[in-house]
Amino acid sequence: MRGKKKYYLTKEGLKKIKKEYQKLLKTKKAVLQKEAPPFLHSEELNTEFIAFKENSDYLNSRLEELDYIFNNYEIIKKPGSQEERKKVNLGAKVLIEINNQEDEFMIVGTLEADPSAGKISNESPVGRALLGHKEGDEISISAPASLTYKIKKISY
Amino acid sequence: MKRILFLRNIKKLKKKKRKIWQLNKVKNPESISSHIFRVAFLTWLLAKENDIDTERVIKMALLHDICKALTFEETIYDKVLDKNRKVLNNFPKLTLKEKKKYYLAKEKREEKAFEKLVEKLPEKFKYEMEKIWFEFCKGVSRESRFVYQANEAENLLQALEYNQEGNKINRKIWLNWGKRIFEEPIFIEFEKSLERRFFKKNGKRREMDNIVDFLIKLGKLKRTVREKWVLRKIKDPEKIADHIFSTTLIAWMFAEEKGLKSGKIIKLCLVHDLSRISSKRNYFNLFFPNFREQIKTIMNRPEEFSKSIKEKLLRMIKKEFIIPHSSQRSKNKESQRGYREDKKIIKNLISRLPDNLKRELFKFWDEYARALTRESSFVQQIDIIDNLFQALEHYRENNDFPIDFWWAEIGEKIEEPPLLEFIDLLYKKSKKTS
Repeated sequence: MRGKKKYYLTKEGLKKIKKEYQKLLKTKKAVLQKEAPPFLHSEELNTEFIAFKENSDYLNSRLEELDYIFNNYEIIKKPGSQEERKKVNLGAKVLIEINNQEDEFMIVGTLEADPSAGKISNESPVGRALLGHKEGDEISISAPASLTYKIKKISY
Repeated sequence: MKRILFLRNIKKLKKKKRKIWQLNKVKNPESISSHIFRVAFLTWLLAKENDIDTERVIKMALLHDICKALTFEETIYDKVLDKNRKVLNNFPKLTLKEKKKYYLAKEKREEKAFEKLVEKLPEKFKYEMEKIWFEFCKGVSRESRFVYQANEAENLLQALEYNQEGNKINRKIWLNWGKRIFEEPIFIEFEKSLERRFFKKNGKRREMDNIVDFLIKLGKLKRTVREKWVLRKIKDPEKIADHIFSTTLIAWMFAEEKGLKSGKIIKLCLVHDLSRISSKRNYFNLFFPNFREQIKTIMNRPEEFSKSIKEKLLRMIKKEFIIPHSSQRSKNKESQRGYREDKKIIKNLISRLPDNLKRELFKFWDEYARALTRESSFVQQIDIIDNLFQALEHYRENNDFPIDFWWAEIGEKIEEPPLLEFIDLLYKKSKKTS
């Protein structure tokens, strides 16, 4: 049993998931419109029925998963106070210096993370280490292969 | 015909070397299908330890890079690559906007390639593939995020192995890249285990270290070429990992069509050649211990031998498939000896894995090796079909390739009706093109 988990999403991310939900609903409807194959075939369990059942179960479990997200999400908002906007929070675009070179990424929730697209999860070691830090801070990301991330700019 | 085209496309993945290692000038880098092979195993082992739907994630792992059969592989470094490749020592210097652009273009290209790859496949299999592939791409389900991390975990392991072999790969950058990606505790544990192993970091030995050891041993299958092609002087022949990957895909396709349990079939395929990690046993050693060198010579220099000698050789090879009653016993004896040898290798290979994994891997391997069930006998037949398919590819490239041998094997060993139908199609197609 998984523990209750909060999902942090950007508005764009939520829109994507809603689209996915609608697509799955449509597929489920199409599947259910077809008549279920008979349970038995020549006194043996019908493989067509098993496939039909597996497919319905799969779609239901995906929909349940998305329902769970809809009931436990929070939209990532720009921090209210000036003070908070100076820190790395969810949704922050962070310009860092690493190995004398600049790199830029955004801190997002787990559902939207994709480092190749410049989106780093707040639950990854780098995401966790950067959260709460301010411009000018230098953060060393764990030995033995430690690298220092110097925060040059934070924007929302 | 549509299935043949699909399989030919899948086979392209073993010829395509991974771009990131080519950029890093790794000698003889792994193919895309070899990479997929170990991602599938890594996913299996870690999912089993982590209460996650194993079959769903293994299928996802098998599909995650499949679109690359019809599109090129691009790395995030491509756009910023300088002449002396110094950028590879750091994270690519790209703005957030540039990264987004790269990502969207890649997503679009890969989606198009995937749609083309599966478009004419039998409806059931196509639906199953689309369902899983798109789930992976959306990255919303826990399973898809799990496979995403498994893919990066395999990349990291491979990078550290290449670095250890003396290739100029910046392991510090790779390890830190992992730290941007891993968020499931099991992957963080995996990464810590790699630190212990590759950076000689002190610490108490943990169960994960044994899983990493096992995966490193599996890496040998990415490098071991299949002797049946070496004997025939095929240039850059497929590796055992490539063969396991394509066998798995073929088996999955036919399993869906036949209504067999595809999850089980896939696991049987993944373990079926594991003993090749250290087995010296092969077809020629097993059945023709005294003729091995002779066969090798004739196969490699057919022009030096008369037609009658070649025909004699063919008869001799075929004899294994049409065995006179008197030699059946000795064949069985050989086969049992082979089973015992392989069993020893497997037991040794999995000996330090956690008990649940050890039991499961052995159960599937044993079921396959002894053809105990309908599914394992099915996989054994698929193994032969993959060999034939590969042989036909070689025959297409060179008409001197002794293709009759492979047809003979098929004739004796395939019995499942849809497989026979497929063979018939293959035969007709090969006659048309030859």
